[in-house]
Amino acid sequence: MAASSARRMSGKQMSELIIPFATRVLLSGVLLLLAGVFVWQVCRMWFNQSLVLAPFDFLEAGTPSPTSGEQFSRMVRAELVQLADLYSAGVVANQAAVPASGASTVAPMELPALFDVSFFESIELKAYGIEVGTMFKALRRHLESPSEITGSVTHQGTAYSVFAESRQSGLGAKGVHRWNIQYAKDLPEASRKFACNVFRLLAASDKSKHPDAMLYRAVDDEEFCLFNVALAAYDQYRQRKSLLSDADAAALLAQAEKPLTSLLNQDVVHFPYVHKLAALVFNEQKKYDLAEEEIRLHLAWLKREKRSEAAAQELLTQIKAKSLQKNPAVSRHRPLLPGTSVGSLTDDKAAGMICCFARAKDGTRYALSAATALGTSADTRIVQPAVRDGGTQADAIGQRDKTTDTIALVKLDALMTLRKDVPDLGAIGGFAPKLADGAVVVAYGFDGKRHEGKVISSGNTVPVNVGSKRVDVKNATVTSIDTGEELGGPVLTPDGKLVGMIFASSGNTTVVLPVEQVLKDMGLELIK
Amino acid sequence: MATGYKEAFGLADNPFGPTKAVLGMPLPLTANLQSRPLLLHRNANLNQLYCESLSSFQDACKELEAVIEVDGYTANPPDRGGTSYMVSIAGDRGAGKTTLACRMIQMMLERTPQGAAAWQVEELFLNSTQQTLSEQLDKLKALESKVIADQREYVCILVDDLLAEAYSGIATLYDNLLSQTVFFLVFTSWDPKMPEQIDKALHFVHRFSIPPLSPDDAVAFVTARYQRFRLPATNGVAAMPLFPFDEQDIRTAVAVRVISGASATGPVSLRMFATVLQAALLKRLKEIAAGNDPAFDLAAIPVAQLQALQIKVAQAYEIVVRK
Repeated sequence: MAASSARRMSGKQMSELIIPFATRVLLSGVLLLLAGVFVWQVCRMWFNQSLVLAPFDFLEAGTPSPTSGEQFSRMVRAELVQLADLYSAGVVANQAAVPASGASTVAPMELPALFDVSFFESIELKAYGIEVGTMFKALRRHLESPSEITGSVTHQGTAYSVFAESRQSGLGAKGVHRWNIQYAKDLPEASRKFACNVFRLLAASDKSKHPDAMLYRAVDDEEFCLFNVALAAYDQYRQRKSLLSDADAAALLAQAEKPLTSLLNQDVVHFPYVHKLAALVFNEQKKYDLAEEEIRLHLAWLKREKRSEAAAQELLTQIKAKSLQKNPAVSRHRPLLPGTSVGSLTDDKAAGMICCFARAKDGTRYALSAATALGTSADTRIVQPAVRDGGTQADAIGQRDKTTDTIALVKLDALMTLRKDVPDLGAIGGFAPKLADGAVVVAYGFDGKRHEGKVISSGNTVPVNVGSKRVDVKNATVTSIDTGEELGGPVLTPDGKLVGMIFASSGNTTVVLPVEQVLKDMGLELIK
Repeated sequence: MATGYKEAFGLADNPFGPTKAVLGMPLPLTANLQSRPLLLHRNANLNQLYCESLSSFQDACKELEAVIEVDGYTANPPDRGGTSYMVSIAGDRGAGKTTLACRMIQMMLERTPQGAAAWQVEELFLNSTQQTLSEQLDKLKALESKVIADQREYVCILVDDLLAEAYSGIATLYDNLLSQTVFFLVFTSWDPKMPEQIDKALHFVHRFSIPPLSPDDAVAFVTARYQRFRLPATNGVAAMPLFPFDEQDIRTAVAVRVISGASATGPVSLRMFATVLQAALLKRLKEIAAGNDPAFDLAAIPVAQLQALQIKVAQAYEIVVRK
């Protein structure tokens, strides 16, 4: 009994010690949490920038529809978030991706970033009904002085009209802004237009402290919305280009072009970024003259504003280069293709065509062309297309390697991708056997056209004047292909067998150098 | 004195298209020779312009000789047998078919025994590009009537440029003359369907074909002409026997089948080759005349400078840089 009394005493002492301690810990935690909440609320009171979108009054053919009003608010919020995304669009690199060397991407618009995007994520939607929580929220909003947007949507016949106003507490009439949107053909259009207007108001705000705030103030709501329609279509194109069919890509670009054309046709373009976006769209549409004109206007504006923009300058360079690339033969290709322009980066007069690709036993890959097409300097960087076709440092494909009197090899950069298809002629499928006189052969010209001819003779040694030197082309095939300037270009049979490379021309005949033995002598194998 | 072929090239005349009478022959026989056949059976002096070493001519003549010798047509002593022949010569336009046919007729004429009546020679020059089948058949019929009417013992008949479809006319001529006279009938045709027509008929035809000019033939042809026209010179021209042409260049041009100045590419014919060389010489002569250097004389030019005056007929190939 004494033992059991002692156990009871001991249990009582334990509970007397633990329970008060636990209670103190719990209460301290609650008080600290409340203190944190209060500090946070104090901060919000002074620094909060939340925008509150109240549910819109919605009249559907004269009948109120609260659900549609809420839906409209949600749509506007979504549009605002999307717009914010557009204006902060950039290329987010996929760290896990293995980029192909020289792979081309569509340039993003790269507008100067406007705001912290998270601000748009914090746009609050005001709920209907009277609840304690809602009342608390309303009280808090009064304390925090957020901007609140209220309004109404009317659907009559086939048109939607929106009337809305934003009001900032404590600023009186100065803090009021009104919008009136008429004749929107559907709800998405109405919400998009309205979101555009709100977005412009926020961008133009003194609070944004953005260098372009003045521009956003000067631009008309209608112009700004048109610009955003074009920007959204271009951004869709930019992000999905690799997945789009040609028709879909063209449709998206046309969708972007239409509002831009309307803006450009105005007497005055109030929003200078229109020119840059137009340049980007025209560039993708291969309307290089128009693209150059527009990017020059944008650059002129930048200069006037004493600003510089590397991306715009780079775009001009790219457009000028592409304007020279009027057909596939003289255009940039990644993967690399035989039958396309190639040349030396340092010798802008040296230009020819890629004949074919070959591989050494150690796996090193080479492009084959005529010696004179790749300049005279050893170890020079080789570009595709050639400098005369707009090739720049960014178009380098490899290093000039071994050469003979007739051919030169380009050691391709490790990540360079390539294909064996000659534009308009199809894939190279091995070497042609000795052809009979009169056999049909084809080549691809710098004019972007297929040139057909016949074998006049084969197996002869043909002397060719290379500058002051005479080179005897052994086992040459002379054809009636009338290309002429496609030095190094491949000559194929109609079924895609490689006859050789164009080495010299005269009148309407061409000397074709057989390359099978040349590759064999160099320990290379044709990639077919 | 104006610069002529002698001063410009060390040649008595244009070897491929003589401008003056050669060896006293009537001018019509050598006029525009670069584009016309040598009608050897008409004048024996034309033999000096004939190139016996052309492989196709040589082979055909040897083969014919072997056939006719067996039949009693001997050259030494001249004698003739009683067999009639039908000979066809095929080849591209300008290959030398008519010249070879004339040489064959000449071979028959040479086989006339002393004191015997000469061969009657009948020539029928047709034009396959301008004549219709019925026109050609009508002309063959007229020829047949004439030969039968003349009632000569030995007759050589040349029918030039026959359409393949007109072969039936030649076959009829052959059949109808067999009982009338001993004859040597040679016809030429460039029509690719002719061999098929001959195969269909049951007549025995001695067939010959002239292939495109080979590089060796081309050099042999120029050499043969130069033997007649080259003038002796003291400077280095002797070391360049084909001056102003170059043997290697000629070989390349013919092998590659692209000749500078020719209107077409492909297999080289004798006529095309002769025309190009004749025109090249004439052009250079005009250039020298236009240069207003009346004192130009090849004989006075040092041998080291002769190479620079050569005329290249092979197409000059160059690396063409994009403009």
